[in-house]
Amino acid sequence: MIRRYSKILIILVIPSLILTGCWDYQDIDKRSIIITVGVDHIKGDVEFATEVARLVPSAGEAKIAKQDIYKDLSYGKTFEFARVDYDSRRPFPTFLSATRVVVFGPNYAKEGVEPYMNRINKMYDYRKTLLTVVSREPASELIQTKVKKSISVGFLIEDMMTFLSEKGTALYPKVGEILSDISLGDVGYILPYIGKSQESIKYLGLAIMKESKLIGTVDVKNSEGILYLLAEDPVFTEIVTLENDKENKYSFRIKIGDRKIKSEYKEGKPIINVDLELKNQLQYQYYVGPINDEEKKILEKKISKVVKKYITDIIKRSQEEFECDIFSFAKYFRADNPKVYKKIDWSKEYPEIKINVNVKSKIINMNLSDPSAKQNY
Amino acid sequence: MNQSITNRQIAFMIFGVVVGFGILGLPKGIAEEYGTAAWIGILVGTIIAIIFTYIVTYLGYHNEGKTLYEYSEELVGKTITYIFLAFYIVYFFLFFTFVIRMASDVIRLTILINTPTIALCIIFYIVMYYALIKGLRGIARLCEFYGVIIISGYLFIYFILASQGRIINIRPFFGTGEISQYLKLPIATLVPYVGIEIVTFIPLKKDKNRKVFKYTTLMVAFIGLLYMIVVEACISVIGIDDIVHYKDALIATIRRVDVHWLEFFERLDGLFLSLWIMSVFLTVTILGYGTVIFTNKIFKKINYNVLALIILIISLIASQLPKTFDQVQFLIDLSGYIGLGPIIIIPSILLVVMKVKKNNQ
Repeated sequence: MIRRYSKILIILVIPSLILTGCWDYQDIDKRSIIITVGVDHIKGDVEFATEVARLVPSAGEAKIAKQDIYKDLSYGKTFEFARVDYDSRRPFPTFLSATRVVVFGPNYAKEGVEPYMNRINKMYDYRKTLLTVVSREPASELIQTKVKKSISVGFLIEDMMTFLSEKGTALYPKVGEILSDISLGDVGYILPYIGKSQESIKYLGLAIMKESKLIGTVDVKNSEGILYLLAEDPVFTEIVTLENDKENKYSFRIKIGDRKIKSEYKEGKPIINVDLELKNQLQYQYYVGPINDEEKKILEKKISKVVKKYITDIIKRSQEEFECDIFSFAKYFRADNPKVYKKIDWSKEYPEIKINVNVKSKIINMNLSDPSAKQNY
Repeated sequence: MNQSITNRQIAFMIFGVVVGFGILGLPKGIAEEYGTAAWIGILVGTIIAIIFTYIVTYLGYHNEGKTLYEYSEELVGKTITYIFLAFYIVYFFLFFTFVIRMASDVIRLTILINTPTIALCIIFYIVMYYALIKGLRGIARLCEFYGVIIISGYLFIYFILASQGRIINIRPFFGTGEISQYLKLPIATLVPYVGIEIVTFIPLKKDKNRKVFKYTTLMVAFIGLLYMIVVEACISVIGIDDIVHYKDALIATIRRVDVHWLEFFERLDGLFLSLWIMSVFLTVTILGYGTVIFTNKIFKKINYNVLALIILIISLIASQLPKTFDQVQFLIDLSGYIGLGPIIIIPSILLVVMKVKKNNQ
């Protein structure tokens, strides 16, 4: 009798034992879920400013949890002491897997963010695809901002950066990518730069990191050159005019068709050649008027010239002001000339190397308008 | 327990035993030795592994229905056979014992932070014992079934990884171009193939296993291809400078990738770890079977099931002896190197003796 039903019994008993969960499980509302971490240095101490989600089961419907966010500050000589400090303030164990963003305050960013990057890398619960940003204001001030546009500062920054990077107007560097750049050693990297504006958070541009230290910033208005070189599948808008009619502006939507970076080593000097092919689409003219083929070519050349200037300006700044290869040209040079790369000190050579930029642009469509339409009647 | 199995099952058993724990640190090991020319290193290792797979299969095929114990006794006599057997037993035992320990440690460090290592080990042993008492056929069927799931899952993960990587990270394709880079001793690339010697305890039948050479060598070639894909995918995501820092290079790579359009599988580490645990389970089960079956040849009077239980209990105790992660790592590396003996030296000796004897006749 028992034999006959033994299989059914096993099937019933084992899953009912296994599926009930672990004996030491903790409910989600019994954890301090960290949304945002701000890291800064204040008076010689590490400061952690955090946004913590508190899940409270709402009355009547125990299954649906109501979300609430509180903010706290903790201090310590090191990260570990600061953690002891915040652990002694929180009701539940800290849970970092849901962290949306880590904000580095200006003081900490200037001293070097590498230790915290390594902490993210090796802490068991941190995601390695986390977003890190540098803030203009002290991290605690930024995180204390009462934002109305989103449920928390962390979500606002993440949503904003996701949208901007998908549009191609900002970079979204993940911790993993930054760690690879840090390991290469010879290159710098770029983090998003954000700040407070009108009681909210604003994307200000890009923070330039050399040896993981903040050495300068690039305003969002001047960041196009960097995006043309580094953004994945970006879309830009450029305005150009013709010489004979300065009033009529032509608004173009520009995509990158091909981006090639090649390198060579001539007469003891590394040379980097950047070739960009742009695909332009006319969005509209400020005043509708005919455009002939010659004018089209002039417009193409003008676009090339504008874009080339963006790129050469920022490259010049990287060589003269930052003295740091923020475009990872080193990787391209090493790929083409591995033996030479071993011998030279790239970070020292970088300010002196020759970088040629070549931009070709082509108008691929006119947004279904016909500029040479005949108006016979 | 002489049970014949099909060619496909043999091929999947090779896959099961070879691709297991080692794939985790493989990208680091190869990248450290060969840099961005990693694929060349794997290619060299694969070719050598194919040659020895052929030799081991040849020995089994031309000594129909026998395992290494029987044909070695005929070829080199009882005493040397016992030495050989002891070699195999020690190596199989060391390898599966410390792979279980290491895998449990990795699971504890990556996903089950609060679970004691011994609890994870015991679970491995319990499931393994169940598989062992089902005999060679049961294990072979399990390999076939798991093998298909593991291969398709791994390929899916590696292609996703590769799609997230950057080509610039895997360049220069031929490394620095210095000849010395390619002429390195390929031990680092051969160790990932330890396990191919399991063919020695599979009795082959000439009529049933006629195409066995094709199956075994092609499977090793396929494993080589899989290794190439995984190593290149990891380097393309993490970069050659960073990858050398991670003993768990593959998990580190997978954790750096977020694929939004995969929705539920946005983070691939859960999927990977389940596949990886399956493949570790196959490795230890097959090697455990090897240990038990060869020990059984020496202690013929002890019942197979009882012997399996005794060996697993000894193994469980042995697996808890090393106190630090480095000690376990050392023992795994050691057994990997010892493993080169049963792959290269013993089959070569037997092959030469067999050829000489045949010529004399």
